[in-house]
Amino acid sequence: MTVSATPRLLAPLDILLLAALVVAGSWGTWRLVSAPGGARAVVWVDGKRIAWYELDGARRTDSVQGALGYVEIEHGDGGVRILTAPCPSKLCVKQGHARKVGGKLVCVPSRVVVSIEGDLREGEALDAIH
Amino acid sequence: MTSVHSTSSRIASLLAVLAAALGLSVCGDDATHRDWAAMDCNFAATLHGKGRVPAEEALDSIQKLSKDLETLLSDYDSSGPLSILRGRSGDTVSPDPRIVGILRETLPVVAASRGTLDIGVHDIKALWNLDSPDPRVPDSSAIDSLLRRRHGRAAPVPDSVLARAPFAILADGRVVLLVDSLPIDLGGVAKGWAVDRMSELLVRLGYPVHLIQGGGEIVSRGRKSSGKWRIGIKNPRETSTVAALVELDSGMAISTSGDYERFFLLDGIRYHHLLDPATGRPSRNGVASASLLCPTSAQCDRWSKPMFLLGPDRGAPLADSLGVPVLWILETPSGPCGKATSSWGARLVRDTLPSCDR
Repeated sequence: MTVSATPRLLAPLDILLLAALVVAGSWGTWRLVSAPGGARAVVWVDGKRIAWYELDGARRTDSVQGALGYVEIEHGDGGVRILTAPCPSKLCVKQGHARKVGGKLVCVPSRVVVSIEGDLREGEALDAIH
Repeated sequence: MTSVHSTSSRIASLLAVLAAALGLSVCGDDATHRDWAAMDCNFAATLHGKGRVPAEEALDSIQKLSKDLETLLSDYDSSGPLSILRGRSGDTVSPDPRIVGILRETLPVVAASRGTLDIGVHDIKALWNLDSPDPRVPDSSAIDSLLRRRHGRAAPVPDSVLARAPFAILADGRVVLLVDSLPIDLGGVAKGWAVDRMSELLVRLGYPVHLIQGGGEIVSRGRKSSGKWRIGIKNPRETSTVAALVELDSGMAISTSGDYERFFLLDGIRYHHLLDPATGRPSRNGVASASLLCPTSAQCDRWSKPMFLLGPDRGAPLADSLGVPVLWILETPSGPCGKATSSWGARLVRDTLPSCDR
């Protein structure tokens, strides 16, 4: 008759693996929960998502190549705006800052759209605002 | 052996749970979204689920369709497909069948809306040139001159004249022109029609659950796993905030015409893009926006400017007869207030507007 050792539920390596999985899972869940709170400006050029900025970062300026030339975008400090655009009407420049979810800045001739994405308020996602 | 097997099973189960959680955190509920510019406005589309082609390919297809329709329906291109309708009165022409289809749906609304839907305002819109970096109020004589050329009289042009159809459509699809050199402009009807065509294309590509927005026109199709589609309507005097929140069922459209979309302020007066065909000038009826719910985006688009111009007193009986719920947001000295048809409330989740009737 062989006497075996008391069966262990988890070996040390298993515990290490589980700890790693828990950390990874928590990180993913944290991202899932926290992402809507942080509104971000997404830049689209001719339907291609080419950049995104956290709105609450430091104020910075970036340039993107649109259909007519470069469009200069200022982002940070809770908002985003188009500083210069080669569009004849400059409507997108005159739109000023977009600061809230659902806000859009549109340069039609340049085919550039800047859209603020995120939840409208805690726990209330909207599919569209118009 | 038992304990090893048990441990492996537990870890496998944990892995499955964590993988699912991670997958959810990355993919959400399997939605794909895109924004783009076409037809003089912003378009956006969100697809749910998996179709016969990859989601990005489906979005490429509807984006391409929007650009094709922009070419078909643009009134800015003097040699484009619409130019065939700018001929001499009495001519019979054969436009693209899609244009004929739009005209067939539009002409009855011109009459029923008492001419508040006018598809011949391209030159008056060009005179106002609201897209100019330095917009200004045109001379009254210039506006009246264009109204005389279009309707044979200066402002105010009576409803009975405005409601006359500029075309007659024959059974074979040919169109008889009833007005000389009509400054054709399908801006008040084209986007909603285009949004419906894009929605049909997405269904054909295997995406029956989607939302498409083209400017102020939105259509929803199918039902998301997370529930009904929720749409926010902007406060017209504080456009970064939402004044009302509505829920859409599958196959519903919503349209909003607002005086905040294109405008300039001069001496405290708001000059906006919703021109009254009777005067050739921005309407001054106290309405800041009108939102409609309809079975199709095309129907919503055709009726949204008329509902804005008619206002609640003249528009509500018409809306009730059409079975179309409408919310008007009016501007008052104490701020915006809401006035709606009785059917509107069934779709409303919440609003922040005081009632205009209080």
